[in-house]
This record gives sequence, structure tokens and C-alpha cells, in this order.
Amino acid sequence: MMRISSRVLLVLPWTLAGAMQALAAEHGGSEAAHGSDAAAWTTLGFSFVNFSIFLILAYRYGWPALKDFLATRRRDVVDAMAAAEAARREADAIRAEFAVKEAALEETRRHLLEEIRRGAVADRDKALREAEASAERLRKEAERQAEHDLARARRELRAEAARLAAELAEKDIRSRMTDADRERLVREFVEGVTRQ
Amino acid sequence: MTPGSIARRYGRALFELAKEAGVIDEIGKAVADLALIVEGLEPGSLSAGTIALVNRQQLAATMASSHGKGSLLGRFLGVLANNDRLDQLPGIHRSFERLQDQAAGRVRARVRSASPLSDPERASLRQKLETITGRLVLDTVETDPELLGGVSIEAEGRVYDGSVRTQLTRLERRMAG
Repeated sequence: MMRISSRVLLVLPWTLAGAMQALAAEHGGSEAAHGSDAAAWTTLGFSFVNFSIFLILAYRYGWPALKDFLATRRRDVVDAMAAAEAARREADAIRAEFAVKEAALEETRRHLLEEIRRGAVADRDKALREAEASAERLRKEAERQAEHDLARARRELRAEAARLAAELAEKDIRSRMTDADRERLVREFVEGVTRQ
Repeated sequence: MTPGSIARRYGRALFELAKEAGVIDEIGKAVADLALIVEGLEPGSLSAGTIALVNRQQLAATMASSHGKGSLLGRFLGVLANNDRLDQLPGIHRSFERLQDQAAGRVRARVRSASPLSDPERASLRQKLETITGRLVLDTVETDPELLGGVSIEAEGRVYDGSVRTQLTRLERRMAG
């Protein structure tokens, strides 16, 4: 903004006021009949002076404050823009970092998923093998148990058959045994017994 | 040490002492009588848990009263009472009797038959056993119908079995496999 001298500002209203009075006097001389017009010009001149004084005062006392305010405001805006720019750059850096991390995360996720899949497959295979082994063990055990039960049943049947046969034989012997048989048995024992 | 081996040790010791003293038969008879009495008592009724030492010693003295406290039997019973072995008298008797039989050249046989044996059958059995063992046989005969037929003899810890029951049992075992 163009810098205006204080002296110029101080002189300017009075100069303008003088000019206005001269103009009013000129109108007053030639057009005396029109006295009200002169008064209007005077009023206008003083209004102008007043306004000029207001401008001078405003310039003298208000302008530095306004200028400082505007300069401060400008600095603030510049600083804010710089901070925003820095924040944007930082955000960009963070975003880039996160993009890298996201990419790495995706890779890690894929890696983990692959490991989990491999582990699940291994677990499944292991469980399958164990189940098969267990089933085989159970089958063999069932076979052994069946064979054992069968053998025991056979033994029990043989024992029962033998017991019944012996029982029948005993009954038959008791019914058929005579005194002559008893004597013969004793005699045969006496003849046959030796030191064992 | 088992009760059986304890009784054998005491029986052998008593037999050796009786043999030295020349009173085998007398001691044998006395021990047989005492063993019969002890066998009739409740198991453990002569043990330390039931009778105090003083009472056991008194009992031993009473048992040996007919032989005298200072006699071989009296001293032996005193030792049994002191060592809490009075209830071993039946086993001691059996051990003593076996040694006595061995010394006399005798063997005891327990004969069981399905039906009563006639005198000639019993005599022939005894003679056969004497031939087998080479010693005089003292036999006791019992009738056991469960044998069905034939004879079973226990002598010197051996069993000579000719009973139908045993043959039937063997047959049953063979059939059962």
C-alpha cells in the first residue's frame, strides 16, 4: 500500500476546506440570490473536512492496528497453511507407511493363512492316521477277543462234555460195579503197584 | 520259618535227646497223647496272645507232671512254653513219629478203599508195600465210597493210587483237553 505523508494528510483537509469556501464565496458573489446554496456548500465543506479528519485519525491511529492485525492474520494464515502442509505431508508419510504396512500385513495374513492351512491339513492327516491306527487296533483287539471267547467257549464246551461223560460213566460204573469187580480192582492194584 | 519247619526242628531235637536217653517209645507215646489234647483245642489258645508266660510254664509243668519237671519231657515242654511253641505239639509229634518209624525201620501207610477190605486183601497190600519200601508197614484203613473202586495208599509222602475215581478224573481231563 502506498505510504502517505502525515503532513500531507494534515494539510489536505484545510486546503480542501479553503477551496470549498472560495467556491462558496464565488457562488455567493454571483448568485447572491441564492444564499441557501452557499450555506449548503459550507456544510458540505465542513462535512468534507470532518470526514477528512476522520480519515486522518483513522489512518493515524486505526491503520497501524489494522495493518498489524492483517500482518498477524497473514502470518497466522501462512503458519496455518505451513502447518497444514506439514500435517498433510506427515499424513502422506503415515499413509505411505500404512500402505507399506498394509502390504506387509496382507503378506503376513497370506503367510499365516497358508501356515494355518498347512497345519490344518497336517492335523487332519495325523488325525486320520491315528483314527485308522485306532480302528486297526480295535479291529485286532476285537478279533483277539472273539478268538479268545471262541476258544474259551470251546474249552468250556469240551469241559462240560467231559464232565457230563464222566458223570454218566460214574453212574454206569456205580450201577454195574459188582463185588467181584471191586476184588479184581484191588487184586490188580496189588499186582501192578510199584515204587513210583 | 514256617510252622512246619519249626515243628520238624523241635521234633528232631526231641528225638535225638530221647534216643540218647533211650526213652524213644516213652516220649513218643507221651507226645502223642499231648498232641491229641492240643489238637482238640481252639487254634491259638496256647499262644502268648492268649496265655501269659507264667501260665504257659505252669501248663507245661502240669503236662509233664507224670514224667516229672526235671525229666526230658518236662524240660522240653518248658522250652516250648518259654518260646511260645506249645501249639506246635501236633507237628512235633508227627515229626517225632516219622523219625521214630525211620529208626525202627517202619513206615506208616494210610489205605483208602472204595469198599471194606478183607483180611487177605489187607495183608497182601501190606506185604506189597513192605516189598516196595523195604520196611515194616503200619497201615490204617479207611473206606471211601467216592473212590468207586480200587485202592489209594499214602506212604512216606507218596501216593499210590489205583482208584477208579482217579482214572475217571484223568479221563475227564484228557477229554476236556
